[in-house]
Amino acid sequence: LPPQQLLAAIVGSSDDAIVSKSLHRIITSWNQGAERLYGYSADEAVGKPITLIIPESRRSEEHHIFESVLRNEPIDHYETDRVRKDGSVVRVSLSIAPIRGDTGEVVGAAAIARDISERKRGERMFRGLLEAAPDAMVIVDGDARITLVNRQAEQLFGYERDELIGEPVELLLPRRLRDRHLGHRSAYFGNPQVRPMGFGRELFGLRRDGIEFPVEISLSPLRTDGGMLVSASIRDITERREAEAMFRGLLEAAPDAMVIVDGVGRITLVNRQAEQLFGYPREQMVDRPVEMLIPERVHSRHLGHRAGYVLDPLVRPMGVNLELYGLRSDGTEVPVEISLSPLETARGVLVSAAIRDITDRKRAEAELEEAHRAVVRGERLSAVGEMATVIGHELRNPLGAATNALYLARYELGQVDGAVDRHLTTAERALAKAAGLSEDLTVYMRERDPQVQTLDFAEVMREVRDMVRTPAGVTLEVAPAPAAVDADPALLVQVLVNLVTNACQAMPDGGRVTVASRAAGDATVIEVCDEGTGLDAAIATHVFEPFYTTKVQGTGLGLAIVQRVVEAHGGRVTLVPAPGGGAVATVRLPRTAPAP
Amino acid sequence: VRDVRVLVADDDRALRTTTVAILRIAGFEVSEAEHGDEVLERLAEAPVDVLVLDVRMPGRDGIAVVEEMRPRPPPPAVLMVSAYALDQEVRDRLGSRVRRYLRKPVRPEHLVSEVEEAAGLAS
Repeated sequence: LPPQQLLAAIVGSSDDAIVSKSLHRIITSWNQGAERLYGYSADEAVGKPITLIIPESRRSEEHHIFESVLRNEPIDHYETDRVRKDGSVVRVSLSIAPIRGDTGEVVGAAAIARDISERKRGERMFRGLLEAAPDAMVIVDGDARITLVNRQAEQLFGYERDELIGEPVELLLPRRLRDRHLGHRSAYFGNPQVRPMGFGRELFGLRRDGIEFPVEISLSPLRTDGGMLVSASIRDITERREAEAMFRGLLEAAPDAMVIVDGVGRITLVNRQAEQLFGYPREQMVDRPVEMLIPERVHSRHLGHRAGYVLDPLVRPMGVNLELYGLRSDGTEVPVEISLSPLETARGVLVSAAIRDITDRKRAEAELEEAHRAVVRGERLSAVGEMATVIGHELRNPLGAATNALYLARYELGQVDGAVDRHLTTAERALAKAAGLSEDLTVYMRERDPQVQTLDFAEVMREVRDMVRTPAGVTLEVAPAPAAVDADPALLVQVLVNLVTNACQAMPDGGRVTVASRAAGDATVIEVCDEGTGLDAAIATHVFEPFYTTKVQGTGLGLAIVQRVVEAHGGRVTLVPAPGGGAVATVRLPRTAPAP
Repeated sequence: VRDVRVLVADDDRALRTTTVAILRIAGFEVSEAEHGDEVLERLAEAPVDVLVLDVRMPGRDGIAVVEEMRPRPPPPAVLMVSAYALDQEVRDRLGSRVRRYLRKPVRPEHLVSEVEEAAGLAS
């Protein structure tokens, strides 16, 4: 296309109104844009004076402009009014350039007009929005010069609007941050998007009076005809910072470990006490699922509870009637008590958990309970002691008298046989058993300190075997490789005789009693196993109490003596059902003498 | 053969009388007392070879009796009978004035042999 035609095509297709006029200000051309803007067709306009579209009020102005153009001074983006065919006035942005003839002399002028009334409305709306924004708004151009601010920005920074427009935005930053900001802002222009400024850094603004204040800034690019602008929405967060500082102070001052969790169970905040309790530095906890602090076996249950809590958040203790445990970084568990409370925040409901380590309390409770049990046991023992005194003294005399009387009866009867002999024998045995009971009581009540020495367990068991009359069908086996044991020899024999006797009595149909010993750290463990009927849990808790017996022939003192003696040695004894049936009595005696 | 004089001291009448009967059957010359004061009276009246002495009695108990026995005439051999083992401290105090401590109930055969021994009859 020849240049002339190309130019004509461009002019014809332009959205802007392009009008040329002669030196006599007669319209010489009129494109489609002009038809659309002013409402006259080219036929109607060409040949008419330019005053066709110039309102009365702008006539002299037009005259001046035209003079300037003729003096070769082009007009750029001059905003003025024009009048349409229908009489309405339209706001336009006008650029006018001279048209030169072949020899270079000015032969007319070309005016390009753009309807800016819409843009103006947009601008007004934009300004209205700007002023209505809750935050200070500062809009900068591509050179980071301030082009627009709202009243909030004026108030926040303490400047008048006129003092800000055209200034570099760095005016509003503390001096120490300005250099760095230059780099950041050029990076932003390279990749403009709506985002908060700073990425976790603390941001500060600078007031005209030189006072700095913490801010939060959100950036968004504005693409305009005049190039890209950047709008910065700036919020003074001084109060929030103070509130946060106060909150953090409270958090750190709390006596309990505090863990604050968001709606999906992510840890958002912890205090120092939480670091100490769980053994993690806070950066290893924050942003991780709270389940990291909970033993795995309760994870699935906790997930359900957590979801339920978020739906109905109340201040309440967690896990009423449940034993709660925390999981530490080293894998150990710690008993805890947890109180939950919801925190309404902009990020939704957070849940604050106050976690108290109750290890000490649990221990104290256990100790108290043990002390209480000991008192109860002690009281019972002293009652037993009094009863034993009565039985020992008051019963032994009648026992003796009865024994003597039987002896005398046999003497008077001479040789007897049959029923009389059987009856006398029964009475003699019954008296012997009663005498045994009073003897057991005496042993039980006799409190003497064990004379501990290191014993050969095999030797001890030989003595035990001699003393226990195993019933028919019951065998007594001593496991090989006996361990050394520190005990009072007579008392240990007594303990084992009683345990073996007890085991034998648990097997009315016969079976095997096995006695084994082994070293276990700083103690010796002796186990007496039987193959009897076992015992149920209800019985197991009572077997060591004096006078507790489930056997027809028992005195109820055998195991009580065992416990008394073992505890006098600083040891422990338990009797529990054996895994394969029967029962196993376990005596644990501390090694007090140094190993040979 | 057995002109051995035995005194049985016990406040329990049934035990005392049966014990006396057993020792008489065994051939001893037996008298009895039911409390400590009576024991001391009997000892003052006539010599006794063997004293079967209960520890717990009303008034003077067995221990007091042993402690108050006169050296002359020569005191009897004492068989101290009690329901409990006596404290070592008491035993130490009584020393050789008590020949033997027996625990109740004492089997009759055992009592007889102990008395025989105490009387110097056993070999």
